[in-house]
This record gives sequence, C-alpha cells and structure tokens, in this order.
Amino acid sequence: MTSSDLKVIYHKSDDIVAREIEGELIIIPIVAGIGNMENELYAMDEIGQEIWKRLDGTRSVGHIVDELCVLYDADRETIQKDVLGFLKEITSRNIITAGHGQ
Amino acid sequence: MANSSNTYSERRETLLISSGDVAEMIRCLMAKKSPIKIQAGGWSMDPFIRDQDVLTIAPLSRDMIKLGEIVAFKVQKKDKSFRLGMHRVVQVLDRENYLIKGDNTSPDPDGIVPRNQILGKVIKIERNNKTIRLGVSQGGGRARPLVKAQSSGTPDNFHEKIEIRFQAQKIPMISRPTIWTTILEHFKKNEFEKKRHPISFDFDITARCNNDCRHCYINVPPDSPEHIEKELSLSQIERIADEAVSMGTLWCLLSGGEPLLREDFDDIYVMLKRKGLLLSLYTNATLITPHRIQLLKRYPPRDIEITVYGVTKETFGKVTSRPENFNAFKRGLKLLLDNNIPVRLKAMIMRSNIHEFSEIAAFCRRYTKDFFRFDPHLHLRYDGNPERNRRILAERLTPQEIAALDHKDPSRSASLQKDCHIYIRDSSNNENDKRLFCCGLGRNSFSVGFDGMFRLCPSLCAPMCMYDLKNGSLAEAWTTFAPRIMSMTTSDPEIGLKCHRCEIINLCQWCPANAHLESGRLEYRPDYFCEVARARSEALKSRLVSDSE
Repeated sequence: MTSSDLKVIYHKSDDIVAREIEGELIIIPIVAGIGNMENELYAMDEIGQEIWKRLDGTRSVGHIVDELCVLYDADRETIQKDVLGFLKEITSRNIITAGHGQ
Repeated sequence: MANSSNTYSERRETLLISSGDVAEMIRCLMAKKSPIKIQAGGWSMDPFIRDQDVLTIAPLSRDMIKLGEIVAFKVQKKDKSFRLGMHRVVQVLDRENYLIKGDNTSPDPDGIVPRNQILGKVIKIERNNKTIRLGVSQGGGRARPLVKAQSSGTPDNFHEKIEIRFQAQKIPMISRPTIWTTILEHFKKNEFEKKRHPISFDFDITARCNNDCRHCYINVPPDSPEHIEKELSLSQIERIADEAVSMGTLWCLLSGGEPLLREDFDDIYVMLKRKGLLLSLYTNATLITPHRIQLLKRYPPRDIEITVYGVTKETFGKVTSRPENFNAFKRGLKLLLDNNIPVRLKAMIMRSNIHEFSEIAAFCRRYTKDFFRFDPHLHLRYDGNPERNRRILAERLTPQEIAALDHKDPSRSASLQKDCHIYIRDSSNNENDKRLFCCGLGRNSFSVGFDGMFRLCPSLCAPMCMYDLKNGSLAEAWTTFAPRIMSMTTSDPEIGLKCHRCEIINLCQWCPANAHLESGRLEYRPDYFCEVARARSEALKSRLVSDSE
C-alpha cells in the first residue's frame, strides 16, 4: 500500500446496475465479463454499502477512509486496509475502474 | 465411620466433555429458541474470531443460511467421533447443504455440512467486553456473490408444475434449488413472507408466432395487422419496466407468441437489461441467428427455455403445422449450444407427439443440464376461439395416458412418491373454503399481456380480473386492483366444499383461472380436471403399494 493508492478516484462501471431491493444493495451486471463468472449478482454488506455510496467519481480513497473513520469504531489502519481490500475485490470483478488521482 | 458420600465423590472420575458433547449441548440449548454465549478457543477463524472471544450463537431461522455467515456445526472426525466447529459458509450448495471452511485453516474446506448438522449461527463477537463490528474487523466491506450463473434456473412460477395450495408457498414439481428460490430466500427476512413484493413478471410482448402449434392457447399469425396494432410499443414497454423496477422487481420473463418476431426485440431486450432486470426468454429457437447470438453473448440472459415439439420433422410438423421450420429450430438450438448460452429444453405432450415421448425426453435431457420438464395439461385459448379450442381438445390426452406419463418419467415419479403426503393430503386441515384463489396469486409476481393487460397470473384472463396498463399505472394495478382480486370469495359449494377440500387438489389442474378458460366462469369444476386428478392419484397409490411390497 502506498500513499498514491489513497489518491485514486474510482468510477462505477456503466455495465452494472446497482439496485436497492428490500433494503439490500444488489449489483447486477448487464454485460458479460463482469464478475468472476458471467452474469453473477452481488450483494454488499453494511460496510461495503457505505464505501459504495461514496464512490461518486469525486471522492478519493483517502477521502472515503476519512469518512469511514468518523463512522466506525475502529482504528484508521484497519479501515484503510479494509477499504483498499474491498476496492481491489470489486475492481477485479470490473464493477469499478480506477480513474486519475487528485 | 467415614463420610461415605465424600468418599464416593472423591473416587468418581472427572467427566470428560468432548467437543462432540458440547455440540450436542448447543443443539439442546438452541431448541429452546434463544441465543447463547460461548467462549471461542483456537485460531482457526483468526483474525475474525480470536481465541477467548465471546460468541453469541443464535438458533437458525427458516431462512437459507447465507454465504459468508459463520455457523456452529457438528462434524464427524476421521476416528468417527464428533467435534464442534465454528467456521464460515464459503458456498451455498443448496438449501440443505453448505460448504464450510475456517478463515485461517488450510486451503481445503471442512467439507459439505448438511443443514441438520448446523446448530446455529454466530451473530455477535465480543472481545475484551467490546462488541466487534462484523465487517471492519475482517477485511470488511465485502461484495459477496449472491447468485452464481452455474445454478441457472427459472423462477418456479414460470414452470408448469403441480401447485401446492393451502400452504404458504408454491413448490415446483421437482424440488430443486433455483435462482428464484435463492433470491426469495435471500429476501425472506422477518415479515417478508407476509409482505407482497412483485419480484418477477411475465411479459408476453407479442401473441404472434411463426409456428402454428395445435395446442397453443395464445398464438396468432405472424403478420396479423390487427395484433401488431394492439401490441405495446417500445416506449410503453419501457414505462411499464420503469415502474416495475421502481417497485423492486428483479426478474422478467420475455415470452409470447414468439418474442423474437418483434422487429424491435433487440431494443426491448437491451433496454430491459440496462434497467437491471434479470431476463429469461421463452423462444421456439427458429429465429436465432448469428446476430442474435452476438446480442445474447454480450448481454447474457439468465436462461432460455425452448419447447421441443418433436425430434423428427414429421412430428414437429404435425404439432407446429410448420414442418419447414424444423431445420430452423435445429439450427437455432445448435447456435445457442455452440455458444454456451444457457438453454433448457422442455416439452408439451399431446396426441400428435405422445408416440415420440421417450425420444423427446432423451433429447431434452441430453442438452439440458438440470432437469427435464414436460407438461401434458393443455390450456384452452385466451381468446376463446371455438375452432382452435376444438383442436386443443382433440390434442388432450386421456386421464389414463397422463397418469401413465407421471410414472414413465423417473424423476417425476420419484418426486410424486417422495411428497405423496402433499399430493394426496388430509382434506380436513383446510380453513380457506370461502376464498376463491387459494394459490400464491398476487404475492410475488404478475403478468403483462402483449396488449398491456395486467394479470396476476398468465392464465387469469377473465375481463374483471385484468387491468389495462395503457390507461393506468402498474403501481395502481399492484397496490389497489390486485388486492381486490386476491380477496374474491366464492359462495359456490361445488368450489368451496368440493374443490377446496378435495384431498387430491394438488394433483389437479383446477383453479379459477383454468376454470374460466374452460367455461367462461371462474367458479366451475370441469369433469376432465377431476378425471385426470383421480387417475393420477390412483396411479400414485398403486405405485406406492407395489413399491412397498
């Protein structure tokens, strides 16, 4: 992990639809090639949803970590590791893409 | 004299409580329906759970255990003794079987643990008297796969099946986990079962078809100007889809007629996909072209269902009246299979193709991974066309032939025998005599016809039970109109006292919608339905007797 990781701004893919159904956030891939297997659905846990809400194309990773530190009772190092882990996971599934840093 | 009780006490060996005994104790405690706290020992779940953490274990609810949850379970060791485990569900195989693994154990999972060996689930972890949030402490923020492509299946209400009435839910003829079940289970939280939620809908985007099947309840000629005129436009379809999505609908079945006949099919399909709807497609495969394959590969459907009318040109032509389409059917199917597009083959069985049943079944099984579904129940026409209805009646099999088919198919026969207590039930436990509809009507799905008519079930075509979406909204149809239909009552003793109380109603095709197609009346009991149900029941009973001997 480097400090430059924290400057990255992620963008949501145009080829997924995020829908809230019965209080649950569900990621629905539209085209082939999203996810490890084609045509998978994903549901996000509570923390995932908090990160997802902040992926608005303007907040950097560092910015998101700052906000989660206010929200959760955990040390910054843990939260930063978790946020980066989550973003890595959904990037690998082409749900989001890394844009240019600030 | 020495104190005998003390002596006795001292001599007694300390009782060793094994891990398996603890598991049994937890099972007993869970039966009391309240959570317990237990201190963890070991590092197999580190860092999520650490040695000495205090875990709250809650009894399982009726819901499916979810991927990622940590469960307490009893597992047999190599030496045949049992131990208690508390590990994570890493794969939901089906409602009854879960693959379980410790976070910090070797790459190999513990194995497949059946639900009856799962004692409860971990709902809280405390460390140093502080509750640890699930998520953050575990590399949290996880996107977990909710549904995987491999478990491809169609919502069970999309299938012909024996419908179980007077029970909380419908079950498919062959009980198996489908994505539909998974999704339903996923959303079945707390009060969800009692709550109406429109999860899926059938959309017949045209009644036109390039085949002219003898048994078809809906088809009209492919170029019928009158019907083209009545069809919803792309923008009308989009408005309905927007409303459905805003109401939380997740799944849409595109059907017809032959949906691929619509010139704007590609636009409809992509538009619905881009709204975040999962799509299933019913097609006769004759209009599958390389261009359509590109579309389906780029925007994968959940699945495609194709009816096989015959495996020879002669039989195919006899059913469809279009023998010249046989090659197009084979070519279309091959294109789909060659391109790994998920396909399920099924059959309608009738007078014109019953001689080929075994060959059709074998063909369907060869190309369909999960199960082969066939249906000998032919509906009468939605439009009531008397000439076409005469043709359908002539295609219907006799009750004895239908009963024989139940047992000609090994999986259907096994399913009937396994659940015979449901199919031949105790008629005394029914309290719903007054209600007209005793199925799951209106709970989780609806149907939209090519002309924009909203219905609670595709077969429910009685004018008073339809709502015109061209002149109204889906929200109104679902929230205001539908409950009125659902609460309709019957005062006809033939229905309330006979059908609703009939012990073999779950083997019968009877329902108000089918009764209406037969007679124009919702409250009607066609003799043919009774005869078929009786024949099926007799065959099932004699099969059970012969198997027990």
